[in-house]
Amino acid sequence: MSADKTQPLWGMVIDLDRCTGCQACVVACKQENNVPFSSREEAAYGREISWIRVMAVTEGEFPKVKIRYMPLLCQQCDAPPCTRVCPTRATYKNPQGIVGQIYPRCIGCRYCANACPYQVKYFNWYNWSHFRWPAEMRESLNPDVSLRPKGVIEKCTFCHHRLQHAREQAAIEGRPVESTDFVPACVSSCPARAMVFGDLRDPESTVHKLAASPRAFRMLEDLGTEPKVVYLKEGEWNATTGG
Amino acid sequence: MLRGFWIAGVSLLLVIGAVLVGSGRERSVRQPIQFNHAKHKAAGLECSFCHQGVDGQAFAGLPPLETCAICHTAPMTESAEEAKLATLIVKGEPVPWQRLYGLAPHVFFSHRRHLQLAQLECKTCHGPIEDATTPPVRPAVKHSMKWCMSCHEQRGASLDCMACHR
Ligand code: HEC
Ligand code: HEC
Ligand code: HEC
Ligand code: HEC
Ligand code: HEC
Repeated sequence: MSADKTQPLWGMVIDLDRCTGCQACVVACKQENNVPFSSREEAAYGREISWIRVMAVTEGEFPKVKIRYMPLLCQQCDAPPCTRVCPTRATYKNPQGIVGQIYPRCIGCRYCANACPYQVKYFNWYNWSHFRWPAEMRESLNPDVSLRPKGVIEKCTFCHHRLQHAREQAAIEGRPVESTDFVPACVSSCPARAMVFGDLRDPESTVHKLAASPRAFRMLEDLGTEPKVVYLKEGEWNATTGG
Repeated sequence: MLRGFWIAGVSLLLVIGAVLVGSGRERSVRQPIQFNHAKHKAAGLECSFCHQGVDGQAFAGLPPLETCAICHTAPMTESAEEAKLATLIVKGEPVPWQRLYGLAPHVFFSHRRHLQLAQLECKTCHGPIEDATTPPVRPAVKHSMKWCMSCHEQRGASLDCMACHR
């Protein structure tokens, strides 16, 4: 499917100078998308699912060590390597540029997970019922997001279910969808306001302006994946010297 | 030789029979109270009086006990079905209505979109339920993906997988 220029091109900017590594986005994402919390054993097998995770990047050597935090989620590539290897077209880039995963269509071959240079596509090893969620937490399941069955790949969709509602609301109001119509759960939860979301194509939008900053970079951009998640480099502030 | 034909013939019949019985046995829905849509339409009630979300929300919803209680605290007819309802109203127990239509949980469907914007009639998707004198035991219209897609194609609505899947 080709890009539809009449619709926003959704993108995210993450300011690493502001990110404190607090994990609020990680919790908000799991809550929003019905991602179960994993146990120690599952994590040890490498089976933990976390559509967004905070990577800690250690730099330097003792005593001059520095840790940088980097939230990592699906980069919503404009040239996604994952969709090209899918034998069933269960994963594809939709007209709004979002990389989707159609769960009933997915056969769980995991080609896409292996093709993803960011390692942000997760195989579902367990049925949802495997995680005996506390009764109180069942009440908080989000009805807008389906529970993924065992044996499929799942991933961040920029909270596409929020976009479904935003599109409907805009249609009811008889106007096109705008840059500020919705934000994903991670963005709305960030206490440091390190994450910004909107239409990369709209010159008035904050994401568009920030993406043009000299601090902006895209992860592994040499690969030609054209991510729609843009990071802003940290300044020269240094933990050891304090300035 | 003739015996061989007999055995083959009988087994073939059995197989055909099994297939017919199997396919005919669709899930049929039994409602706890024999609700009569036609009579309530005649009483002048709008669909949205009972299916409150239908105009403004994704889900149309089934009526809670309070909706029935507006009129049915005192009996209006001799009907045994109405008596059942009256007992539940006295006890304050909700009627355990069974769902007739229901998409797989991985599909997003919104009534608001199809009524307020697409201006469709209930009939197009639910058949003539307004004239039903007893609750339908199976859906009048099969809500398959093909069905959604063929109308979307005709009406120029979205065909993007992610528009409907979640
Ligand atoms: C007085 C309340 C009332 C009114 C008015 C009413 N309904 Fe219903 N409706 C019900 C009840 C109760 C049920 C469940 C029992 C049944 O299936 O008959 C139901 C079931 C349905 C169902 C099946 C829902 C499902 O999937 O389980 C549809 C479709 C429906 N109604 C459509 C309509 C339409 C269309 C109208 C307007 C022409 C209408 N209803 C008016 C009370 C009402
Ligand atoms: C606005 C008033 C009103 C509401 C609300 C209402 N009804 Fe009725 N209902 C009537 C009237 C009027 C009749 C009598 C129809 C007749 O036989 O003339 C009736 C008749 C009935 C009967 C007997 C029908 C028969 O087959 O003879 C049943 C059962 C019934 N209603 C169930 C319900 C249920 C269940 C609800 C809630 C979902 C409900 N009604 C809500 C007005 C209402
Ligand atoms: C474009 C097709 C379409 C139209 C038009 C439509 N419906 Fe539905 N309806 C559906 C589908 C699909 C479902 C199943 C929804 C689901 O499972 O999420 C449904 C479910 C329902 C239900 C079951 C409860 C629920 O909320 O899921 C009721 C009641 C209902 N519809 C009433 C109505 C009434 C009343 C109208 C007209 C005012 C109407 N519908 C118009 C497609 C339609
Ligand atoms: C009889 C025609 C018809 C049928 C059947 C129908 N739709 Fe639609 N649908 C439409 C129309 C027309 C629109 C566009 C409404 C608008 O915004 O003007 C639409 C819009 C939508 C949208 C919003 C798409 C977007 O651009 O974001 C979704 C989602 C949707 N339909 C889902 C479904 C599903 C799921 C089914 C089957 C269960 C279905 N529809 C069946 C006519 C239909
Ligand atoms: C207009 C809405 C709509 C669109 C667009 C749509 N689907 Fe569907 N899809 C449905 C509905 C409705 C079902 C049936 C759900 C049910 O049976 O309750 C379905 C079912 C499916 C199933 C079968 C699930 C099963 O259990 O058998 C697959 C696979 C699927 N869709 C994949 C896709 C793919 C791939 C695309 C994009 C090319 C797509 N769908 C686009 C509405 C849609």
